[in-house]
Amino acid sequence: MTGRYIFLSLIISMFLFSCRGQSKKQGEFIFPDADSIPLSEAEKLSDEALDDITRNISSPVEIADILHRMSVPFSTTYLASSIDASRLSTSFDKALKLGILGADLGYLNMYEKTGTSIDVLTSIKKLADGINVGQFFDFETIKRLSLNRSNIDSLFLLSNKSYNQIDKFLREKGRGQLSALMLTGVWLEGQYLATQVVKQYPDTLLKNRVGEQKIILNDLLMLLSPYCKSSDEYKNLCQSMQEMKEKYRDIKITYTIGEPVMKEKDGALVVVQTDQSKVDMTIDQLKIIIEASEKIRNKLVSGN
Amino acid sequence: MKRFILFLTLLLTFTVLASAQSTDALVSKCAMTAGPNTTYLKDFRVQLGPGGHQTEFRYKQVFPLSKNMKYKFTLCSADNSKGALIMKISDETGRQVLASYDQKTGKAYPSVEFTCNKTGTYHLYFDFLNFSQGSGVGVVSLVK
Repeated sequence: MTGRYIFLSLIISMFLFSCRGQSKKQGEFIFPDADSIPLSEAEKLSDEALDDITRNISSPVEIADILHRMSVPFSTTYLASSIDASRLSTSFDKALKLGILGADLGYLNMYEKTGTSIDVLTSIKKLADGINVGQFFDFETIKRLSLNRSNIDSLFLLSNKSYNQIDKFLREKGRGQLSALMLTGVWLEGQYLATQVVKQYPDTLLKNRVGEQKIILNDLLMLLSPYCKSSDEYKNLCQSMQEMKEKYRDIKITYTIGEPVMKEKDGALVVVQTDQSKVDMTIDQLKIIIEASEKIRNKLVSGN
Repeated sequence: MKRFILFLTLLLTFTVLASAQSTDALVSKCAMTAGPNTTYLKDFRVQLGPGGHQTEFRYKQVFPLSKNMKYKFTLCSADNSKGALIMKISDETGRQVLASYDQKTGKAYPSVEFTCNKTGTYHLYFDFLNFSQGSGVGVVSLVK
């Protein structure tokens, strides 16, 4: 019996890793032919295999940093203000929206709009308590730092650390489905922010950032896939994410190889990568992705 | 007997909590040493025993890095560690992108600033110098 499980794990691991590695060696990122992993196999993915999938809680911070560098003015219209934490009843909704609001918090912090982040913080606390992870969110300290605006670095540290700890705790306690939802929420809101801004400010850096999400989306779908059949809510979300994946299918990401340049500066090592990734995406493809991102995100935020 | 079990349980709980708190303090301290122009993104908490005749880094994680972003990896070891925390990064094809130590000289850098030009999923490997015993944290920050 044990032998069968070991054999099965090996087959799944080989499938997973062969899919992930194959396309990159040819200098281009393409979605695996079989759309990641067949659901029946994904459901049996080991914790170790799932650990090998990217989990990026802080991606909206990076997007907000790009917007800041582009001098894009702050706007509250990008925020998911319509989320009412006290009206959400299912763990599914709470975890997903915890992620969405986490992305909004990163955006607010990056623009130092810490005074206006109190409402978002209050909702985050409610949602975190609602799925029994409120102990990782040091609400009082984060609120105090937000109100006096004295230490943005500490604010980022505490906020991001809280989310990382929640993610880790959920996975360790066998509640990986909620962690996957939270990550999906973070990603969707970050994607919404980037695509809404790129409509008005078609900067190459931001356009490329949107195109590169093809890589992250693939990993996100692998995280979600074990739960896609567990309820109608998950099924609908997976379907929406699959639709998004289809919009990305023809966007090309190619790679060129180079040798890193290294030097020592003030006792630290400084490395500049000379490998390059390049995104080939037409204006029409970008438009389709903007529309799809808006549709999915708004549907989830409104709860319809 | 009941008292002894209760005592052991309390001792174990206290030890676990104390360890978690000290790691947490190390994360905060390490994130702050990254510098004023950085934003904390994620930390990796590493705790390893003696490596013996180990040749491969023992702690592995994945993390996405994006083109046109500058990252700083800050490595901090707890006082009771037998060697400094070191790291190396490979891309998804297995090509090494950077290492925080010089294998020839044995020099270990406490931080590495990395300008990324290829978006992708990277493998981050951590261990302690000479595969020794230790605990520490690796903090990834965004350089503004």
